[in-house]
Amino acid sequence: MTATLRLLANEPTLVAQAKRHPPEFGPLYDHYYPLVERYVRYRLASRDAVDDVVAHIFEQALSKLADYQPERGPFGPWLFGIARNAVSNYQRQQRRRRWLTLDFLHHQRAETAMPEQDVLVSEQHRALLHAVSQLSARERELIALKFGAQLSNQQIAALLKLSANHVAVIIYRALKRLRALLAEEHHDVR
Amino acid sequence: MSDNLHAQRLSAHIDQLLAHGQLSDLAAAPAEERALLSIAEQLISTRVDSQQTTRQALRQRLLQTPPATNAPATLRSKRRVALVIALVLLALLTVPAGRSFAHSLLVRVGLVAVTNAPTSAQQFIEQGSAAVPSETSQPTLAPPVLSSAQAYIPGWLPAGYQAEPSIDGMRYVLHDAQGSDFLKIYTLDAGSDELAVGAASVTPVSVRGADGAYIAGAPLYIKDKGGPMLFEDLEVEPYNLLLWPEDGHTIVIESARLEQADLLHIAAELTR
Repeated sequence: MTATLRLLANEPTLVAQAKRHPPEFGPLYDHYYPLVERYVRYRLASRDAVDDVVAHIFEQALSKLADYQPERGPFGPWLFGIARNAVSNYQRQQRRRRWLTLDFLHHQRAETAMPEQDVLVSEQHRALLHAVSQLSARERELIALKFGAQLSNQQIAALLKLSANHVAVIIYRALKRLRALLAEEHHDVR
Repeated sequence: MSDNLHAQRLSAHIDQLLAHGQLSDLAAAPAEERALLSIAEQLISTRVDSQQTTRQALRQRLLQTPPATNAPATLRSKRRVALVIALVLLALLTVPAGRSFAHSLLVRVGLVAVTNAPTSAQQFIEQGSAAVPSETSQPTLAPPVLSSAQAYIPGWLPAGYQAEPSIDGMRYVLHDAQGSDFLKIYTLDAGSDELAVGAASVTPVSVRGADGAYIAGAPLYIKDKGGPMLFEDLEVEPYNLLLWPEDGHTIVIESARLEQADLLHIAAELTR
């Protein structure tokens, strides 16, 4: 199976230029921003947190760009390695903070409840994101890497140290679970 | 059909969806598969866009302020600087007196300068595990990775070589009575501005219409002598390389056994 991550036509050259002169990171930022944002959105419930984490990911990517070695693999999977760590760190921080104050818990609940004023205009999309939030952490990560980051099964397998076959099976089961969750939600609404 | 087979089939459809934005006719597909692909389609098309202002503000902030130059030194970076200084001092102490530090440029291929500096493999063998790590991204103890972004496919290979997937991309392997040869085709991209080849011989050649070089006997890799992987059982393994610039990359074909004529033949029939 070929890679699904859509590469920029002259990506290696762009990366080389950005390594020498960081302001030339622009085309890479423009190409990867929507993919990184979608990846983070599938992994986190809070819209505000998504912006912060995405910003942190690109800051990290720029500051570590000099360490990126193209001969060890394409830029996209390297960037999503940073994205995975950033999301995991954020989730760890949140777990620690949950023990702090009741005010914080209230604030968190308000943030994660996907309020009506969420930027999503589509009811269908809202339902889908809600269903994704009910998947297990592993399933959610796979969904985010496949449909958010648009990585190939091989690239996901390399990141998560799984086999590509196993990745395909988890995605298949996660989609089945999403289907059941969406059917339940539809039933509840009716 | 087992879960595994369903999963593989579904993944193939999802990759088609991601690559082309649409699927070929699925009328014959089972209802469940169509339903799952419909969810996949929604996951791909779900709008999660932040406001353009957020995105633009971040872009402006990131690209106007180079992060590395203004950032205060962290403890980790201070440690790294200290380590580099320690290694440089160690190198100065361990290099025999009178040994020249000057390395000559043998040939320039595109952006890559081929020099007669000792390779990392040579340094490792000569100085043991205290060898000073190379600061260039030349091939070292581990072979470079074939990037899936630039897959150059050989249209011709000498008899006996078989394509074989490896952990770092596709390689072409020959197993015979003399042992094995691993032919690799890869690109040196960003950051690979120097290739140290030790005392290898370098011959300028024309490759696919570009000025390239054939390098014979570059001591790039380390192998064991057939015994256990103890330090004293290791030796450098010379490789022959053909490299040339093409489409903004420096492409390399390497083999321990094949020589100039075969490597040129392989290069001539490469396709992307």
